[in-house]
Amino acid sequence: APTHAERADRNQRTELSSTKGAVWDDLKQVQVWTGDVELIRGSTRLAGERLEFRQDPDGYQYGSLVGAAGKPANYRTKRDGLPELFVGQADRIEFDGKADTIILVGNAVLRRTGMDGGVLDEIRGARIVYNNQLETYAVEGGQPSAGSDGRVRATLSPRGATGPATQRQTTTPSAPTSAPGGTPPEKGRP
Amino acid sequence: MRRGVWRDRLQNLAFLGALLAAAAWTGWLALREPRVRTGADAQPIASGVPDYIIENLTMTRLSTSGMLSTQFVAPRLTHYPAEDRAVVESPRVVSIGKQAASTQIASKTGEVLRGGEEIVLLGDVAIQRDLPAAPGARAPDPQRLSTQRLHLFPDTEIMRTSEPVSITQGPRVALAREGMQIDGGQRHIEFTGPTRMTVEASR
Repeated sequence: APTHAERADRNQRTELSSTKGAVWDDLKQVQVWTGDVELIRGSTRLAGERLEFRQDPDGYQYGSLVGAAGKPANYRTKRDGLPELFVGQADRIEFDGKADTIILVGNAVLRRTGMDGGVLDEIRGARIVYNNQLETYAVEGGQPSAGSDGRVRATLSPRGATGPATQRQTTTPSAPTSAPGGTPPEKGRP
Repeated sequence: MRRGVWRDRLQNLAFLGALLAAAAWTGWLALREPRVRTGADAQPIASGVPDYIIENLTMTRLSTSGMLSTQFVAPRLTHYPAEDRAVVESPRVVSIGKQAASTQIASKTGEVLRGGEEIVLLGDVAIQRDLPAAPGARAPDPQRLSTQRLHLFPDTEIMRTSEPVSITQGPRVALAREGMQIDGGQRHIEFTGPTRMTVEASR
C-alpha cells in the first residue's frame, strides 16, 4: 500500500489560528500569523510561533513556519492506510502544497512512530526534505558547530517492525565530502 | 414682450441655482468648520439640540487629478453644535483606490466628528474591499468584513475597530476577536488578538 501522509488530508478544510492575530497583505496576498500558531488540515498539524501563509488561485497552500526561541516548530501527519504517524520538528518548517513537500530546516528531526508515539525510525540532519508524492525523503548534514558534528543520523527499525524499535540499526554516513553544506544528502524511502 | 419673459425666467433660474449652491456650500462649510455661536448676541445652544439638518446628503471628495476619491452619502445628517458632531442615518461610504483597494462601507448609523476628521460607523457595519491585482495575476477575491463599530480616518486611509470582526474572502472565513486595523496606505489588514480562519478545501 502506498506509504505516505494521509491522502484524504488534501480534501479537508484547513483550520488556522493564533493568539496574537494576523496581518494580511493586500497586494502580495500573504498572511503572517503570530503567537501560538496552529494549522490543522485533516490529520496534518503544524504548530509554531510565526507562520507566513499563502494560497494560490488554484487552492494550493504554501507556508513557512518558525518556532519560538528554544521551541522548535512542529509537524505531524498520519500515514495513509497505516496506523503510523510522521512527526517532525525543526527551527523552520516549509510546506509547498503543489509540490507536496515538507522541508524541515535547522536541527531537523523526522520520526516515524506508532499511533502510541513509539519511535520506529528517526532521521536527524540540518535539512530534511520529505516528498509526499514520491514518498521519499532527503536529509542533508550541516556545518559542524557547537553541540553538533554536522553529520546525518538515521535510526531505522528492522523491516516489518510495527512496534517500538527494539533492535536499532544506526547508519552514520562516512566523513563529510567536499559537497557544500557538509555531508551528501542521504536518500531513503520510509 | 415674449423675449423679456424668457429673460426673467432665465434670471430666476440662475438665481435659484446660486441659492442652492450657497446652501450646499454652507452645509459643507458647517460640516468642515463647525462654529458654535458664542458672543453676546448668540444664545448658547444646549447639548442635544441641532442647529441644522441636511437631507439626501452626498459629499464627494476628488483626488488631485479630479477623479472621484471618496464619496459619503446619507439620507439625513443632523448637526449638534454643542458637541461638534453630526449624526447620520444609513451612511454609505465609497472610496476608490488607484493602486489600493476600492472600498464600500454601509452601516445603520454614523457620526461625523471634528469636522469630518473622524467618522464613526455604528450597527451592522458591512465593508467590501475590492483588491487590485498584482502585476501578471488576476485580482484576488473581494474581502467582505462585518463588525458593529468602525472608526474611519479619511485623511490617513485608516479604518479601525476593537470589536470582533469577521472576514470572508473566497474560500477563507476568519474571525478576529479583538478587532482589526485596515491601512489603505500600507495596503494591509492587521487583525488583533486571538484570530481563527477556516479555508474550505477547493480541490
